Amino acid sequence: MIKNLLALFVLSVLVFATVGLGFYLVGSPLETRGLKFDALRLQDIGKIKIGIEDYYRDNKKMPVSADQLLEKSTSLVDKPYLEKLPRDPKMSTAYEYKDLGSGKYQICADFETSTEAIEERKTGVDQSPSPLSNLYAYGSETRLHPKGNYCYEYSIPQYSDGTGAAGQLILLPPVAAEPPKNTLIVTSNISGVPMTGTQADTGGTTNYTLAMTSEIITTITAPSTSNGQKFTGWSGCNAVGNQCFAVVTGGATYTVTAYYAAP
Amino acid sequence: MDDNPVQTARGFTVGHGDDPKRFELTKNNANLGMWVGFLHVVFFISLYFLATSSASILHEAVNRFVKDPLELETAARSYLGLFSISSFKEYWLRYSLASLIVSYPIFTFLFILIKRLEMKRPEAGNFRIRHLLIYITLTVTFIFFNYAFIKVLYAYLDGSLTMRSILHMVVTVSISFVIFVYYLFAIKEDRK
Repeated sequence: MIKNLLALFVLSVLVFATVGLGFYLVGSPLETRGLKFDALRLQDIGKIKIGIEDYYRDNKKMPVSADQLLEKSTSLVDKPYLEKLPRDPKMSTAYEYKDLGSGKYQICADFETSTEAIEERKTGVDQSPSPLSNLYAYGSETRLHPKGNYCYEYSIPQYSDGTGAAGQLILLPPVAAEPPKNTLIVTSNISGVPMTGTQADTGGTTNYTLAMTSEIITTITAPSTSNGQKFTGWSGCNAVGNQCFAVVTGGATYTVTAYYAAP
Repeated sequence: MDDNPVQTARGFTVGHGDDPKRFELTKNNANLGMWVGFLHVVFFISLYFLATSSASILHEAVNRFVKDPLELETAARSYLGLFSISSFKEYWLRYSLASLIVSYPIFTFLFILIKRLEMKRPEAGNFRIRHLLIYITLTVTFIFFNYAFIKVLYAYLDGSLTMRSILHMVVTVSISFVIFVYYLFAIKEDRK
């Protein structure tokens, strides 16, 4: 019996150590409960975000306060943007919403846990320099949060403006595309040759580049002599004598070259 | 339950001649077999719970403390990020911890109860159900034993043999080895 009791004692020590280890690994029940509340908070923030995007799409402006999301939508039939404003699951306080201007806004919540600390405990990887999952995981930027009050900053995506394709996440205000430029590069085999052009601002001293949003339709005339050298011909354009007819449209780039040689 | 051994033999006997472990079926101890059977079934069930739950906790501890860069990097690229490593294991770990806390006192209580009964009435250790459960346990632990070694060899061939897989093997082997050896000696004792 003594032998058996001794074995039982050794087993007890091992079991108690394992139970302690188990408690260390799963974390406190309070923390786990906080984690579940935080998951609900993230869901609520997602709902408010969708409501704000819908509001922007209909009204082309940001709501001043979150209460405006309860107004009837003009695009959805007989439905408000949000049926009910989500409230904090534990405190039942409203989430803070702030319009930051130019399509940016903030939604804040009081979180009970820190994502980094929990990931660190669960994986044993130090998350403080840069959270590993933040590098690659899709949507992780909307999931990571520290403990305490934290604001997620969002921008209205362009599709909410009705101008971009769905799913195209270009931030407002959309960058106006630059109109295409027509470019004519005038060069010569000797430098510093003064050229004249029939179209305004198309003359210059080689080598020079003309970049215009309007079409370039010009005749460049090269002097018959320059720096004691004689004009011999053009390349890159239709030429008659020392005149070169250049037409550049559709954002194209052309290069014309005048050649001179010793007389 | 009647704990007093009955000296006068009536009815038929089970056992071998003058063996002290001989069980003689009488009016007074007709329920002993059922009682011993019940105790052993419940005891072995709690043993299985104890072994699997403590093994689960130790396996998870190995996962947590011994990092596998392959697993971490794979998880980091997944949709859930690092949460994907632990979301399922966390549930399993909690179940294991709860089951360990519940099964351990039951196991200890039954262990002491059975040992006391066997001291008072040596014939209680000679029921077929006890032998059957011991042999089943030996077989199962042997299978776990084999499986742990196969898994490590597989990991080697698969190119995933790490410190972690070796420690997993150590956990499985040591728990099944303790149970295996304990019952191997129990059988040896029985044969004396």
